[in-house]
Amino acid sequence: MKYYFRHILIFYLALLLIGCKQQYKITNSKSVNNEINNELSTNNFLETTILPYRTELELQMNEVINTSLIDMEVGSPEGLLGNFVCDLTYLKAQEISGKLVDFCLLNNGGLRTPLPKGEITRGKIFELMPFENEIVIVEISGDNMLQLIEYIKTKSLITKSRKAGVPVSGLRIAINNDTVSEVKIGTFAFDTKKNYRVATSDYLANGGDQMDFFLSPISIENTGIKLRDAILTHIINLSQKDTKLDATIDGRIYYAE
Amino acid sequence: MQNRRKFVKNILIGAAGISTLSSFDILNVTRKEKHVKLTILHTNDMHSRVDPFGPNDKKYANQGGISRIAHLVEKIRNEEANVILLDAGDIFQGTPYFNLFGGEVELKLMSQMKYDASTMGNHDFDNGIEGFNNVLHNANFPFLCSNYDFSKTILNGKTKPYHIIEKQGIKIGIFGIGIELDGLVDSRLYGKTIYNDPIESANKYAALLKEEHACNAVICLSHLGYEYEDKTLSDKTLAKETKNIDLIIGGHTHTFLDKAVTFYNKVGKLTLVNQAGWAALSLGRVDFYFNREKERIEDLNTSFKPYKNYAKF
Repeated sequence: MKYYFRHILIFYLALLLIGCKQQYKITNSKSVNNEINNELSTNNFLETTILPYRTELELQMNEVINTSLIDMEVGSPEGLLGNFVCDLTYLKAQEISGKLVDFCLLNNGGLRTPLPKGEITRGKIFELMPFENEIVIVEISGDNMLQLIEYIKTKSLITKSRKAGVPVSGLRIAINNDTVSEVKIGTFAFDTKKNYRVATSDYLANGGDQMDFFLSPISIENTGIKLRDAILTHIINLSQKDTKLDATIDGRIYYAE
Repeated sequence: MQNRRKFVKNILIGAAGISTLSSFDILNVTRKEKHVKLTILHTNDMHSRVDPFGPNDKKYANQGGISRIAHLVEKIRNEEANVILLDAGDIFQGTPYFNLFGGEVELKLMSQMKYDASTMGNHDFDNGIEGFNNVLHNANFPFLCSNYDFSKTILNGKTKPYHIIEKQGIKIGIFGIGIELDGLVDSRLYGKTIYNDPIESANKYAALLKEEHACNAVICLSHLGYEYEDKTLSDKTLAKETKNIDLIIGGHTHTFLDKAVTFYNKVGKLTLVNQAGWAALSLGRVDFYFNREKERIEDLNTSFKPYKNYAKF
């Protein structure tokens, strides 16, 4: 009996030694990623946590922050919505920057929904500008300005596509047939020898919407202000002054006869 | 013959005795358990998708949402013995939940879901490192940042370079690789964060985990992105240029894969790369089977197969 016991002991010691030497290693793997669709239930524990935040969020998003006197939509060669957003962006950029800002240029594609006549909620502005784009001021050369003007002309000659038109502020361009017949920056005529400081979004400054003329800038100034925050602040400020939202088509880009 | 039979019988009795008395895993496993299964669940780029997409969304109407992921995770936890849950960054930004509450909601929910670890994506810097620091107390899981050096910032000591989890005798080492912030994130937001080389850092921590800490599996949470047309460093390159990594859980490029893709690493061993889309539209899953005796038997799947028709999306 003692003899067998010794056998058993040796056997287990051997197993232990083998066990210590052999590390666990991956011998096989399987992978399937799961789609999260609307057939899946939600988790009650999480829903309880979310509820007060959701209530607060809906309250804030549904808050009426001002009233618009008109329907504002993007358009070509000009649109009320583009004019409205560019004007306030130009003012904000000028307010933040110590140096003169010559004009503002954005893109119609970035304005994601029209602003309807009547009450405007905070949520509507999140719909209009869901992106986190910031206002930047890009200084570009006269040569790049020529490209910029050409870009505006090309887009302004289209009228019905979603890609039509370029919203601007502080810039006046007359298009005669297929050529640009007049360019004014502020109250001055465009000078190809000058550099210009353009307020725009960081997305466009990085060449978004094929705005290649921004890609070799002389300087870039970050404002640290999100475009959406600029819009919200402007609208709330107007409300505090009892001023409703309004915009006009003022011939900043027009077809000359 | 008689003696031999007795000997075998004694061994069996002995084995029964030891297995009931002993709590040593090592004996249990050697005796009968052929393998241990580890289930790795993961998300990336959830982008504050607390609620599903709205009914008017053109692409993802009524899809996604973190609460549904939680439901699925809970279901899998009930089915599998060893589950870990990880995230590869960009938790923040994308819905008003982040704009209004600064990331508090997302981190609270992830804590309730018992996430084991996450890494930081570029958008997790969107309220600056101060903004991140302000809500970090809502997370009961570690943020793993192996190549962001926060020592000169207020985040000093608040993230970890790596983390080790044990499941049924299996040691899992996890570390996190972040994307270059310069040019992607406003420098005012990341402040004095120092960016270290991703491949160097990955090799350093993978070796530390596998060799010194004897981890049985090493997982890299990466926010580099799955692949690029130009030479920007991607998870594909990371997989091929490193060793000691078994799985790279990626993010940033919002890539939908139907399953993990396999690559040969620098020394000809297998490294899996997986990514689960974005906006809580997908839950990634990789199951690893561990064994002491067998060699790796799985088939290679080196072809890139982004899920172009990801169900009805």
